[in-house]
Parts: sequence; structure tokens; C-alpha cells
Amino acid sequence: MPTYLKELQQGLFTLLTNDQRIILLGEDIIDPYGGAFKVTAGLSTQFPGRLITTPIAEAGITGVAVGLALRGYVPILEIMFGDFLTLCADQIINHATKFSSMYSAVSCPLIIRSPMGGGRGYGPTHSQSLEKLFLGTPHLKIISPSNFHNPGRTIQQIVQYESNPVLFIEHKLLYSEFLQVSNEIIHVNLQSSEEGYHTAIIKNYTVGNPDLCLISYGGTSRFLPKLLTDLAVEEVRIIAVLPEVIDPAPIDILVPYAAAARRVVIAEESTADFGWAVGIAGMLYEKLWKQLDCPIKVVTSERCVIPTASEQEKEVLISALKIENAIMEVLSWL
Amino acid sequence: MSAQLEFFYEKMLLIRTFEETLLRLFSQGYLRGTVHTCIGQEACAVGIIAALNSEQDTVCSNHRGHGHFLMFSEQNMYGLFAEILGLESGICNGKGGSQHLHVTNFYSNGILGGMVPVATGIALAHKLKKENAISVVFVGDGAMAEGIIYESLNMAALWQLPLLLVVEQNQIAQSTPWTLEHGSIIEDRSPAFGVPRIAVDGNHVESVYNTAKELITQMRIDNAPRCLVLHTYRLGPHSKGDDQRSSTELAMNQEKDPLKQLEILLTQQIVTHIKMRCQKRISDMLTHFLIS
Amino acid sequence: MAITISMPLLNVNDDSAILVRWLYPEGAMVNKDEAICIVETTKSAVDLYAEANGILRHLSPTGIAYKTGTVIGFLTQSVEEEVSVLDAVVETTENPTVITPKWTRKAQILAQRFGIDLNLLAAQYPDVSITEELIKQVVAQHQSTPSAEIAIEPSLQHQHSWGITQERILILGGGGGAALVLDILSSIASQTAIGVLDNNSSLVGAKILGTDVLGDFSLVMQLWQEKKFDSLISTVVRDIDDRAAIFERFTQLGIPFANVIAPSVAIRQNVKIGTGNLIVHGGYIATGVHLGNNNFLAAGTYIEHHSVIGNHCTFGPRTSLSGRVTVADRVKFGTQVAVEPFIEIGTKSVVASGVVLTSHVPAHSIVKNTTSVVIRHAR
Ligand SMILES: Cc1ncc(C[n+]2csc(CCOP(=O)(O)OP(=O)(O)O)c2C)c(N)n1
Ligand SMILES: [Mg+2]
Repeated sequence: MPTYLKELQQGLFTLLTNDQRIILLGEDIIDPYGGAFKVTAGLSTQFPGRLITTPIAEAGITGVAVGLALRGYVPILEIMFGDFLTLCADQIINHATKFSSMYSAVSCPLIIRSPMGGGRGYGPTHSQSLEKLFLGTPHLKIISPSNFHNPGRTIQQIVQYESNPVLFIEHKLLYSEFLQVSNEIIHVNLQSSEEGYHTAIIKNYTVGNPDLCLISYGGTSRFLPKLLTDLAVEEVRIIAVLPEVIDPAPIDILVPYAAAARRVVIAEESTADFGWAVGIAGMLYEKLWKQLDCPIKVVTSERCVIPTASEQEKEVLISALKIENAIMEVLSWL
Repeated sequence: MSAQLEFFYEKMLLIRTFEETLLRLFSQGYLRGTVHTCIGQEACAVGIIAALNSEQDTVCSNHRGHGHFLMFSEQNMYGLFAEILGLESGICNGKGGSQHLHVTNFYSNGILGGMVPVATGIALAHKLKKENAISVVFVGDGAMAEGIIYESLNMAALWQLPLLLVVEQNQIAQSTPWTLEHGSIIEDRSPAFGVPRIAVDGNHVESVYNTAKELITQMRIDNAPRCLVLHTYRLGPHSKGDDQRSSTELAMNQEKDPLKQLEILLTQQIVTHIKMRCQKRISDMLTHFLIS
Repeated sequence: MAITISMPLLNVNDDSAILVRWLYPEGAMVNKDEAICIVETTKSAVDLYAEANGILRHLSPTGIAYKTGTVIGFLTQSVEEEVSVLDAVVETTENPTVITPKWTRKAQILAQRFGIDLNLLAAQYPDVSITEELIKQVVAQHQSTPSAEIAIEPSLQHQHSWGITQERILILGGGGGAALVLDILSSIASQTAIGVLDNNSSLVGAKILGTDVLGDFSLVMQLWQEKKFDSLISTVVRDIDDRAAIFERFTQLGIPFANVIAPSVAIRQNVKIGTGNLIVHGGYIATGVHLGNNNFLAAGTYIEHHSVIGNHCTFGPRTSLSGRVTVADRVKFGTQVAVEPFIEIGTKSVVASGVVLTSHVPAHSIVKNTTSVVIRHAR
């Protein structure tokens, strides 16, 4: 069975093979090292000159990638840890996204890939989920495939479809995960949008209506196979909806599922308050006012540093138990 | 020789007249937001861009970019004017305004220093495509305190990219004299990264042009980066009416005015003739836009 | 380490009690000795107090009866401390009085929604795991048998059959008081109104807040024998002797009266409450208060600590009694009466609206407003 990492590598391989506009840039991405998380392993050997290993200058290399994108290339830039995206913010917000929108007839097809998330003991500055900081940026698309998606397919879809900047968020803990497919208990369906992106619809039941709609994205998918299986035994019917395009908000995709279940939990690994989950909840309230049985529950990590020590890190980060507790809380509303 | 001087004079005068008109229109309420004029620095724009091939070379500019733009693409003067007026017929549909301009190979943005890595990326594209093209980026002396410029110089040197970094050393940044901005001279910066540097009088249009021409010829051969520091003086306000410099200081620098320097070299008759032509072009433009 | 909150032994007759409601939301910080939830037996409602400072974690849904000793919640020291049902089971299996229930979590959720006592249901189905399916059957059965003669669900005839714990209340008197009661009951999960009786025949057949006026008081006995209700509440207040007579007649016949207490009423520690009391929103019954039977406390009645109230008294809105006041039987208070501490009020007295009582009131007194009395002449 293919892992998330393998599929992603395969996607990049296909892109480099078929599309001469593709250039990969980033720190430590060439062989024999092949990237901090090995996403580009082997590619610099197979495609000499198409991968550029860069100095440690996140802002600068983002600008360089923007320049390439303005002049006909499709650069795929790897930022080694998502936490370093703070350094790229000016080039993303004040340059890349502006060129494609404030100039007339200019496209800036830049893809920035970056691993986010905790759970590996990398500590406060290498474990965050900072895509939150970029949410709502005009003309920026944020895409974060879960392991119910195929990240290799997604990145090819981006190259084919997008002419504006895209943040491609990977979760460190997903790399080694197998891609999830249906089994006797869990039924996975991929719903395709007009743009060809997938929303994974995961059910732990076959007949009847869902008791609850669980909305999430990206790395939190790692909890779902076990959690949904356990809850199936308890007869709790969950429909989990995981869009890969998280911003612009996929609200039209989510609304019918939330409306059908009438009870909603939204999970996000980022810190509490003012995040994706809260934003989606706000939109759902607007669309489904009085159609929900109870308030929407948002589950996130704590709003504090992410400690290195294993036990402490566990306490702070979102977990299967936290999601489960939220589900139970929502279901216990009369 | 004189034909070239007349050419430079006319280009600089057109920019000057265009920008003086902007300041007037601003005080009359036709413009909103902000404009930064390059009054006193026209020789930088004209000298550098005259040395480029606008078909293949690219220019990244900054907040003070009308002169660069007009010299790069004079045929788009009405589009520029419309853009500054905030009209949809502007080159960026009125979205960009004075600081955010784009036509063909010209890009400007209002974030100081931010265009330098972009220009570096463009230079990389030129090199990868073997276009033999040059990527020019204009920055002010104040912007030279931005860290990202040094990240870019490092990459330009590392990858030997055809990047020409032009520093318009007008000795001031908004209100702050350069002595309060920098602990060492700007000329020393790029050589430390392995990027050769030349400094010239930026108010002397012929020097600027000749130096640029020479640098660009070299760069087309070696594809390597260069830095050109132009010593100049901002005769106008930072944007509009915001100038705290003393009138004595300003008066003392009037003689550096690049236009005045050329007027001495040209005949009175030619100067008058060119002045009339520029004035006519600007008044035709105002008529076109129904402005009196 | 989390401190468990378990269902206490409230009196010898009851080995279980209903968790009526939590007084603080999940995750709230509570202080030692603060009341954290209300539990209710057939006789009374009492507060449970925090054993220590901590963060309140609800474990058990409200509106359900739990056996004495069942863990219903936790006090944790930090928000992150994770507790699960499993911990609770581990802790309580040592206690021999606790039966470890066997049901799915979905069944538990549904039981809570439909007001079904899972413990009782489990006792009825000892060898099966209770599933969603079974709960739905139970609910369907009790909903599917409509009554021909009067609109009460006959399947509810036997108390606690099917594990339904809701106390079915028959309301006496169809005036404004009945609407008050119905409004209060709409927010109480453990009690429900099955109808209203009124001696005014023109009201019969009407609906008050969706509940039928079934007939006059003569129906009480018939409905009781048909086991269509569990207890009475009287909303008759105009004539105190009438009110008292109704209460006495039916209690002598063995028909119990309920206490109907609005959720917003604060009932504090060591309070004793008889039966047949109707306490409307915003009331406050301080610690140590003894309240007899068949009293009516209108909105915002404050009874300060250690006051003793007899039987069949009525209190107008916002009447306030200070600490250690003694009120005999059948006393009628108007609106916003204020009573100083230690005052004693004799039986069958009437205190008019707005009176500020500063001295004892002998039996059979009528105390009127004194605000128009001239205190002093200004020259
Ligand atoms: C990143 C950034 N910081 C600050 C500003 C505000 N600002 C605009 S122009 C200017 C002064 C720039 O001085 P200099 O670089 O010397 O250029 P000059 O105006 O002299 O041409 C400042 C501070 C800006 N536009 N961008
Ligand atoms: Mg300057």
C-alpha cells in the first residue's frame, strides 16, 4: 500500500517528467539528502538542473520563486518547516498574491509546499500549524490533503488548474501513513469539485442518517480510521467531511452534510480561537441558522507553546480523545 | 552627440512636466492616495533604462517609479496617467495606482526592498531560458537597510545571475537623512557578496547612461550580477508637501538639477522647442482626460 | 488526579436520585464547598458541593436517575486532564452497589434525549446490551398507543414502566397560575404536565399553553385510580382556606403533591422543603430554610437563611424575608413585602403589598401599607 510520502514523490516525479515549466526549489532538497522529510528524494538525480538547493533565506527564496513564476515557470518551493512561513509572509501576501491580482493579465503560478503540525517532539518552533495565519488572504489558495486524499494527484491538479499562488500544507505525521480506502466499517467517497479537487466523505455506517457531521482537514485525518471504527461499535454514526481545499472556504460543499446531520464538530490542529474551524462554524451558523439541533463544537490544540516533552506535547495538541469528547458533548445536547 | 543630449533632455523633461502636473492635480483634488515624484532624479531613470533593450530586459521598480515607467514605456503615458487618476482605463485597471505598475517587462511594488528577490528570480528565469536578458531592479538608499536585499545579493552571486541592482542614493529616506539610516557606506555592501559595484554621479545623465551601457554589455557576456550606485538628490518632497529640509539646503542643491545641467549644454532655441513640445503633450493629455 | 463526584445516599428510601442539572458548565472553575449540581429524589432536591477547588467535568447526562455511588462527574486540576467513561468504571466497580451498565454510547445518548432511565431499562433486560434499536422500540411503544377518552398517554400508567422517569403532574386550577406551572415544566426534564383541572366548566376543553383542561376537580380521583398522573400541584391562591382545603383533602386520600420549582430558583444548602410547593422563577431559598407544604412563592421571592415557613402560605412577587423569620400557616403576603430579621408572623395574617415589617405580627392580623403616615411636619 502506498504511503502519503510515496504518492507525493510520485506526483512530483510525474510533474517533472511531463511539464518543463516545473522547477523545485528549497533548502536541502537535492540528493543524497533529498529534503528534510525526503519528499524530493531521488528527484535531483533523475532530473538534473530541475531542482535548486537554496541558501537558508526563506524570504529571499520565496521572492526568487515569485520571479520565476512571473516569467513562465511553475516553481514548487519547499519551506522545510511550516513554522518558517512567517519569514515568507511578505513575499506571499504583498508580492505573489498581489501580482496576480493588481496587475492586469499577469499570472503567478507559485506553489509553496510545507510540512506543518506537531506530534514528533520538535518543540515550540517546529510543530505549529501556521496555515491559520494565511487564511483569508485574497488570491491565495490553501490546500491541505489528508491521507484520505492522494497528495500526488492533488499537486498535479494544482499545476494544471491554478495560475495563482497556492500554499500546499502537508502534515509531518501523514508522510508515513498509508492512504486510506474503504473497508468493512469505513466507507470513503471522494467528491470532486468543478476544479477537480477532492473532498473526502467518510462514513462509519451504511444505513440511516448520520448522528453527527465531523468537519476537518489535513493531518487530523490520522485519528479518523480508529476513532470512526470505535464509534461504529458504539452505534454512533459519523459522517466525516475532509475538504482538501481549505481556503477559500469550501462552505458550499460542507453545508449539505452539516444540514443533514444537524450536529457538527469541527476539528483543527491549530491553536484555539480565530482559526479555520471557528471561521467555518461562523459560516455554517449563517447558512444553517435554526436548522441545527445544537451549537457547533470546535476542537483545536491549546493556545500555548507546543512543548517538546512527549507527555506535555500530547496534552497540548489535538487528539483522538479530544475529538471524541467533543463528539459526545455535541450528541448529548437534548 | 547633441542628438543624444536632446533625446535625454526631452525624456527627462517629459517626466518632470508629467510629475509636476501630478503635484498640481494633487493639490487641486484630482488625485487621491499618494504619489512619489522623482523630481531631481530623472537622470537615473533615463540613463539606465535608455541602456536597456525593453523587448528582452526586465525592470522592477519601487514606490518612486513614474520616471522609470515613462522611460520604459512612454507609449503607455496615458495608461499611467489613468492609473494614477484611479480610472479603470489605467494600465492596472485602477487597482494598482501610483506605486503598483505593470506593462510587459515592467513591474513595480510599494514594499521597499521586496522586489529585489523577485528581480533575482526573474534573473534566474532569464538565465535558465538562456534569454541573454538583464533583470534590473531599482531601490533607494533607505531600502538598502532591508535584509531581503542581502539574501538576494547572496543568491545572485551564488548562482551568477544577470541582476543589476541600481541604488538611487538620494541621501534621504522619507524624512531621514541617510547618515541616520546606515552605519557604513552603501558602496561597500555588494562587493562583500561578490557582486561588483560602480558608483557614478546620478544627476549626470550621460555618465549614468555610459556606465549602464558598459555594465550591461559586460553582463550580457558574463551573465553575472552588478550593483550600480547613483549619487543623486531628491529635489521634491517625499510624496506631496512633506519636506522638512531647509530652503537653504534645497537651494544649494538646485544646481545639481540634471535638467539644468543639460540646458547649459543645449542651445536656448532647442531647449525652448523641447519645452513647448513636452508642455503640449501634457496639455493634450489633460484635455484628453477633460482636466483643465 | 481527578476527584470523582458521585451520587450520594440522599435518604433511606431512595437508592437512586436524578441528576437534575449541573450548576456550572463543563470546564468551569469551581471552588471547594460551592454547590455544583442539583440532584433530586422523589422527596426533595438538594445540592452537591465541591470537595475541592477544580475544573468541573460532567460525565453523566442530566435528567437521568443514577444509583447511589455512581460517578457522575469529576473535578480535575487542569483543563487538559483527560477523563473518560472508562476511568469512571474502573473507579466504581469496587463499589458493590454500582451496576456496570451495558449499553452503547448511542443508546446512552438517546436515553438521555428521551428521558429514559437506562439503569431501570437494563434491569428489565438483564442479559442484552442495550442498543439504539431497543431504545427506539421503547419510545415507539409509548408513543403509539393513543387514548380514546382523554388525551393522556395510557402507556405511562405505571410509573417507571419503560424506565421513563418523568413525574406526571396534574395541575389544579386553570387560571394564570396554571400557565406559570406549564411554563416552568417546559424547562424541567424530569417533570411533565398531563392536564389541568378547573371547576369553571366553561374552561373545560380549552388548552393552556398546549395542555388540555380535562374537567373539574371531581376527575382527580378517577385519573388517580387510572394511574394517569403521579402527583398534583395546586395553583389556587385567591382563597387561602380553599387552597389549604384542597391540599388536605387529596393528601388524606393518599394522592401526593409535587414540588414545582423553576430552574432559576436558587435552593441552597440544608434547605428542607415539604410537598405541594410552587416556586416561580428568580426565587432564592437560603441555607437552613424550612419550607412546609403547599406554599406558593411568586417570582423573585427571597427567603433568607434559617427562616421557617409553615404551610399554605402565598407570597406576592419580590417579597423578601430576612434571616430567621418565622411564618406560621396560611399567611398571605402581597407584592414586595419586606420583613426584618427575627420577625414572627402569626397564623392567618395578611400583609399588604409594599409593607416593611419591623415588628412581630400576631395571629389573624391585617397589616396595611404605612407609607402615607406623616413622619414629621416641616415648618
Ligand atoms: C517595507 C516598507 N517599509 C516602509 C515603507 C514606507 N516608505 C515608503 S518610501 C520610504 C522611504 C524610502 O526611502 P528610499 O529607499 O531611500 O527611497 P526614496 O524615497 O528616497 O526614493 C518609506 C519609509 C514602505 N513602503 N515599505
Ligand atoms: Mg532615498
